[in-house]
Amino acid sequence: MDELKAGKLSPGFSKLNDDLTAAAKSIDEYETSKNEEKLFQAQESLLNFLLNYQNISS
Amino acid sequence: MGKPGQSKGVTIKINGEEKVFADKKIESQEAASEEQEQEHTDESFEWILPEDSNENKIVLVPSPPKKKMPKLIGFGTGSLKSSDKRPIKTFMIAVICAVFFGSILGLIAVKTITKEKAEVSSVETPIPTEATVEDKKAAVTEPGNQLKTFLVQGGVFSSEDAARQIQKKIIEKQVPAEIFKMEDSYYLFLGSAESLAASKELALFLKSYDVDVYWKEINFEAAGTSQEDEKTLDKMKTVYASLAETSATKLRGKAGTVNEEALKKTWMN
Repeated sequence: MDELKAGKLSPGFSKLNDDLTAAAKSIDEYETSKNEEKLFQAQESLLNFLLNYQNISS
Repeated sequence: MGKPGQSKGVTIKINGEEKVFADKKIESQEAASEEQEQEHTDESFEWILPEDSNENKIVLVPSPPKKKMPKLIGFGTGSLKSSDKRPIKTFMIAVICAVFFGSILGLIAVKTITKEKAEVSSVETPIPTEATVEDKKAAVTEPGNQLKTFLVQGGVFSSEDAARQIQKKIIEKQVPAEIFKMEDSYYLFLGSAESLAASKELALFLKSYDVDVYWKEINFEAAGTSQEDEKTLDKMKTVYASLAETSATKLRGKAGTVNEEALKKTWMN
């Protein structure tokens, strides 16, 4: 996801993309490690996405 | 007695029959004076056994039956005679009293703690449970700049400092927490899910980490974006919704229902 979109996005959208990428990565890591902490990290990345989304809109 | 050839001893008459008891000491003292022998003869006497009489008989008189005392029954005592049971009853009363007073003290403590917490978070707004039963799935992917989300809320605060204090405590419990400022209030959000019902389930899961939780629908709106940006945002919202569903579902201990291949296709188009 990040490879395809990073070059085309504005800085604000790039942050959103980073957050989504981080969330997806944490979920992938959970699949291999089965460590619940990875899911919490994914949730944190999604909350950061919402925070950045809010900052774009304001 | 005293005559030669006759054995010397003590003669006793019992019921008229004479019995002679030889006394060796007397024989050895034969050389003693005859006056003493004469005295021995005088010492013989007749034993008279007492006749059977009713005077010395032991008569068994049956004792009068004892009157049974009426049992005293009262609180804490079954009977005065049943002293073995009294300690058990006393113990039971003590236990019941301990449970009763313990419950009262516990209730007072819980009420006090709840009151203190209410003072810390000044503007907390619990969500009515009736509204949460309704499932509003897949509302996140609305067209345009709006992003509808279903979040787990950790509290609403009037000041940022109060929100930061609670955020710090929640993060110490390994639970994510982010502060959002909306309409002069500071909201603390702990997680996101794909629907209101799912956010409720996620909230109940996070409650096991000893944090206060509510579940809420929040709308974010982007302003001043071009059509091209809107298209990008739409894709991002779709990806966000899928990731929120996957992570929340896995956190709740259920198998993920998101098709990851379809998700990648959405992102690449």
